[in-house]
Amino acid sequence: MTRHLWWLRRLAVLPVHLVIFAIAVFFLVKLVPGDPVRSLSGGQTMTPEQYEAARTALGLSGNVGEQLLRYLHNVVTLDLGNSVANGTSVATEMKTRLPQTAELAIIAMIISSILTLLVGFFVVLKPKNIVSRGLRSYARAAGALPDFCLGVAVIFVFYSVLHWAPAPIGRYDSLLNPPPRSTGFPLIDAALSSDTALLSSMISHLWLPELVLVIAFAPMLMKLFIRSLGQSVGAQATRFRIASGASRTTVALSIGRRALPATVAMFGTIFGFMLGGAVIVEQLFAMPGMGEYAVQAVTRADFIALQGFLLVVGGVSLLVFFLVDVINMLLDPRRRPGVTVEGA
Amino acid sequence: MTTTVPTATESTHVSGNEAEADLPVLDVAGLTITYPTEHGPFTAVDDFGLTLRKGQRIAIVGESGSGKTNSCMAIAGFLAPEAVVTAGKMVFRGQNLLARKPSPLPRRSPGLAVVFQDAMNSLDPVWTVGSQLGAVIRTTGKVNRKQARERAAEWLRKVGLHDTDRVLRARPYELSGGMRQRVMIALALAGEPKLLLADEPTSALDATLSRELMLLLVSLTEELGTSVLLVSHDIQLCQEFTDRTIVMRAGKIVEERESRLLAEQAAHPYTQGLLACVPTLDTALLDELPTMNGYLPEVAA
Amino acid sequence: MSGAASVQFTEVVRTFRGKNGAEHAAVDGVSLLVDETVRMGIVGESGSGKSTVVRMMVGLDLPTRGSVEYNGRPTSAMLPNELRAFRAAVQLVAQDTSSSFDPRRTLRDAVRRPAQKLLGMSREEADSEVDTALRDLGLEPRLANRKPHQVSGGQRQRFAIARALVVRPKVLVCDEAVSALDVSVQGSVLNLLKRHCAERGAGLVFVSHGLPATAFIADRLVVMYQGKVVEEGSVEQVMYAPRHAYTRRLVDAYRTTSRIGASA
Repeated sequence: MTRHLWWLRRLAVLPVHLVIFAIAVFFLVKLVPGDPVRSLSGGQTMTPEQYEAARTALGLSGNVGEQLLRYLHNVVTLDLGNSVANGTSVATEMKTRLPQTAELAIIAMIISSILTLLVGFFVVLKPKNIVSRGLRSYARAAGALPDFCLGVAVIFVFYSVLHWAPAPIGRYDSLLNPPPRSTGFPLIDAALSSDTALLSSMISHLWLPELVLVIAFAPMLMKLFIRSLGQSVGAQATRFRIASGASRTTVALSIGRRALPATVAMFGTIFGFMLGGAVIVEQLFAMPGMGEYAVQAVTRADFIALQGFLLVVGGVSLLVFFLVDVINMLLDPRRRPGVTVEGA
Repeated sequence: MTTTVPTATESTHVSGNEAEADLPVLDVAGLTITYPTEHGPFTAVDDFGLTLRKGQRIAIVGESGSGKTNSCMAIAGFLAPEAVVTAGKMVFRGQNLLARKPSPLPRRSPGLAVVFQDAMNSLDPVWTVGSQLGAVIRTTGKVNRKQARERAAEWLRKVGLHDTDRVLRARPYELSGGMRQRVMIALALAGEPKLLLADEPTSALDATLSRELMLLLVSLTEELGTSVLLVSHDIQLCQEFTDRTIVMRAGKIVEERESRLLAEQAAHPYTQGLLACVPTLDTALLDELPTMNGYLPEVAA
Repeated sequence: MSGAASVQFTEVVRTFRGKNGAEHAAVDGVSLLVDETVRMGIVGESGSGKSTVVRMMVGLDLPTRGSVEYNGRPTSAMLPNELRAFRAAVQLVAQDTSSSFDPRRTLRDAVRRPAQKLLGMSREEADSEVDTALRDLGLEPRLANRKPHQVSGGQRQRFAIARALVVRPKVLVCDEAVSALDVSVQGSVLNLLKRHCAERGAGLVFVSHGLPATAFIADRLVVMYQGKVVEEGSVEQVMYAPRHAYTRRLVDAYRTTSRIGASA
């Protein structure tokens, strides 16, 4: 029944992608200028033995090939090494910081998706409405605003001028205690701990950064969905469905299923942007997370931390792409591996 | 091997109920369709009308720009939202079609089915044939899944597809062109419509397949008692398979006649020209083909 | 005008790999000769392989086995200047006009350019040729200033024919070239094609699934079915004494309708 195992083929490719990406990260980080041993030692003179020992400690002994193999072995066993700057385990840091950043991005994606669906259906089904026309122009134009510009503008307007938002200095009021760690996602942990003061403080600190992310990235989804949905609604296949007598629900499902794949694919790409956007937004709003870690790693030339950061972000992105692909292949069987569409 | 096609003449009533058989299935009068353009409104259809009775087949023949597709789509409710439709009346089995509100997503008119020219664009590409047929069959009445599946298989057999299991599980792109065309007919008729609008169903097919398709359509619609409105540019096809033929040109009706008498009694020069210009085995032996020039001085290019 | 142009098919086979890896022969052992004296009609249903034959005839595709030779040179081994001469001599009017025009250029530009590029005509010379062709095809000159998507399908098809005629090919290959045209215009276009090829001494290969139009314009008919040539002969012979079962079926389908058609 190979008809049903199409997702296996896609799954099988995922580890290959991950390995190729890991190798790319290895060589990319090698491009960071300077000798890590020397910059860490601060220019002290070292004996050749001390130098070699330092290099081995950093995993830099041997030629490039040996380093690469050692590195890949570590990656596969999820050993991301220890930060060069402060000796902490990269993996442990990631466990704390990744959920923080991911939470920002995930909330933004959920809000964007809901907005996209609502705006899309409204604009396509009621095209003559004036609100509809306004939304359509917004979706067309708005995709050009860079998130960091938006972030600064938004902080200025809503905090400095209107005082509607709290100071952009962290996830919650500095006087409060952090939530007890259960899932690692700050908002969920706060909700689970039934500490309402903390929860409300978090929400009031979150709405501005989420606003920035949504305004910056949702229009791209909306533009694409409006176009796909418009095409799907006007398609001959839709009319034939209606004419042959299918129920209204069936017609709506049919339209949706044909319109979604392009937008779902874009969703995967935008999630990658959002992760990057979340990093910038964290910096602007002084929230702890991957952003802070990445910036520190770069300024300190902490190449192991940098490697870890890239691997984790890349790995998450590839996983998201895989999920997006599988969802699209479920929606549209023509996209499954091994399917050729016969011409008329 | 030729097959004669039984035609329903005006005087036979196909069903028992006298009152029902007298009432026309479709009654259109004074249908006018205009589109707004930058040079002012463009009239695509001007004063179109017809009366279609139960079991009757009427053809609308015309070339590009004749308004035949617009008229058909107006009845189906599938015109673009910017079209302006006015009519004296447009009634389908007692339902006033003019009361339908234009919308990007039109509502279905129950009892009215449409068949298009190309099956590839009409069939939903992502669903299986079985699910598409099932969706149609379920609207005909309370049938459970098993009955719906059996009915679906029955319809496939009726259109000449006998490997029903495979076809039901297949998606449109896995079938050949000919099979897709037959599936489209099954989908259109499985809902047991009272009126079938066929918009150029054979235009993409060659002569042998065209005839096969029309014979299939005719036999199935006769079995169901479905009236047929056939839109085509092929005047010979219309003559052979329908009871009455309406000829349109540049938005207006120029001729309407009983189909089998059209060739002998065509009164309008455009109709005569159309009939003369059709390439046939006889004209193939001429040195020059007849053109419209003999029939109408100004033929729109 | 002078100079030979011949395309020779020798046992040509063209296979495609299907979705389950199986090989499918779109063209299965076809041999024929086309030159400027020929008026050949190729009929067959969709899937018969006739469009694949056409593509190989104008050098848009290469055979898997067998050879397609232009003036003795295999199309698979041609040098760029030979290809140019080949393309100028054998012109194609294709079925799908929506993709055969550059959407950014006007139709006049599209019709004029091949003549300028392949024949080295000046812009003025080419323009006058274009005007003649448009007039013959019943197209108003001002339509030529529009872009391809701004005219109807039938008009576009006639522009495609004009583009091929202006190049003065030695062999004109038409693949469903009149299928998108209204019946009222088909007759005059077919008459024009027949006259043009007779006057200029050009060969004509007319490919269609419609038998009557093909039989009118051709002297010899080639009937294709499932990749093979199943019948070949003069038009009269194929129409009145078909030998193969498919040909008989095809002719019969038109025989019914020709009884109903009005006689002049």
